[in-house]
Amino acid sequence: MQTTNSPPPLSRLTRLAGGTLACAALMACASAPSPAPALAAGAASLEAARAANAGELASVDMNAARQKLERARALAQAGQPREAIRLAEEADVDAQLARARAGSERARVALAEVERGLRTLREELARPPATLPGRTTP
Amino acid sequence: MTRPHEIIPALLRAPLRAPVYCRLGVAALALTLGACQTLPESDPALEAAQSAVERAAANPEAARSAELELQRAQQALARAQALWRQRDPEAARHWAYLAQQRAAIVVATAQQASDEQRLRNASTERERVRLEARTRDAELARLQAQAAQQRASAAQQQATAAQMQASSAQQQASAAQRSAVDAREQAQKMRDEAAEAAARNAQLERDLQALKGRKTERGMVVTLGDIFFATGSSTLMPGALREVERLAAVMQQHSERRVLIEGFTDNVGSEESNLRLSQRRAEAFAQALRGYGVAPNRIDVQAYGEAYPVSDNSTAAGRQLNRRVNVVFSDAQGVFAAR
Repeated sequence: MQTTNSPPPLSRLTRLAGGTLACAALMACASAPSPAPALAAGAASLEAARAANAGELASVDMNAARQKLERARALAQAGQPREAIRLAEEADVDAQLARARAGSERARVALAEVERGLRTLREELARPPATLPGRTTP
Repeated sequence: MTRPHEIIPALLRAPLRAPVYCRLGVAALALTLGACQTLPESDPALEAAQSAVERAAANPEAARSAELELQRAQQALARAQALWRQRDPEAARHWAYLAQQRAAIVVATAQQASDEQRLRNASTERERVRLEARTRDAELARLQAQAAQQRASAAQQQATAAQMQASSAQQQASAAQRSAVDAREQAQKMRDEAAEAAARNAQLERDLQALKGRKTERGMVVTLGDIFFATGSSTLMPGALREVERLAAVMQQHSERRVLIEGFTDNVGSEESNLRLSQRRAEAFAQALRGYGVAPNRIDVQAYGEAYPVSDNSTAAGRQLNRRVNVVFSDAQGVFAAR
């Protein structure tokens, strides 16, 4: 579709320059970065892990992630953004590990079940049949 | 670990990709770091993270199923090492922790991928084994059905054989019954015949009563005295012809019978002449019977002369009794009893 209101080259340049300036201004006062994105990312990973049933299948990693996220929030409240970000990042990676281990555990259980079934099936097959042909079955 | 004083020759040996001033700047920084290092060269946390990342990278499954996560682990480790070199141990340990956890994620993801592959293989194998079991069950069922059919077939053959035996036995029984009926009928017929014969004999007996016929062991016998013949002659007296006619009438009634005409004399005269006389008289009698229509083949003639006297030849009355002609009746079959 043809855009009728595309900005002229001059207007684009002006915008670029404005964006650069805004960035520079942010950078200037970034001595205390916000922990909010890290906290949000950690919370999202934790929720994803919970949805993958990691609370049961990888409870140690899950608990670690949960506690670290709580502490990260507390530190953010207490005005310690750097420490809050680190703990939130660790909570994030702990939750991701919990989710990965939950998936791995599910696969392991499923594999064990199928292999057990297969073993039973093979044992049944190895046994001589209950009724041999020729033997009279009334 | 690359020691700071080894960095400079390494950088100098590196290909001239970066501008010379840049390499010199980095070398200067490394020199500065090496000059004033008070930190230990490494840290247990970093070393643990490094070995974890190396182990994860050595896992062949990791490159396939967790390539991105492995790269992030390696980047985190590199950052941790860089931060350590920048003398920021807090941040370095934080990144070492992140690197170690990402390595663990790599291992778990690789393990999951491996297990899922094995799960697929096992499922395929399970289907194969199930199919094998079903095939065997089907084969077993087929064999059982075959055996059952064979048994049924054998049973039917036995039944057919038994039926044939029963049929044969029934035929035999039927034949035996027919034989029994035949035998009964035969017996009845024989009884009927015997009764018939007895009745015929009784009838003959009655028919011969007028002729003074006697019932003897040899059958019915009619005796004609010498009064019917002229003395010493074989010519029949007229009275005798009536007797002959009545005998012929009886023989018409009993066509199955034959007669034996026996001639006897007394002992007067020679034995030879007596024999001839008895012969002539018997034949004269037979001739007379033929004259009344009795078939010749129904008449036998036998002369005895003075043999078989029935009375004493020493008296006239006795001799008269001995001069006689016997008419012996055969049985119903035309057979005479032996004298």
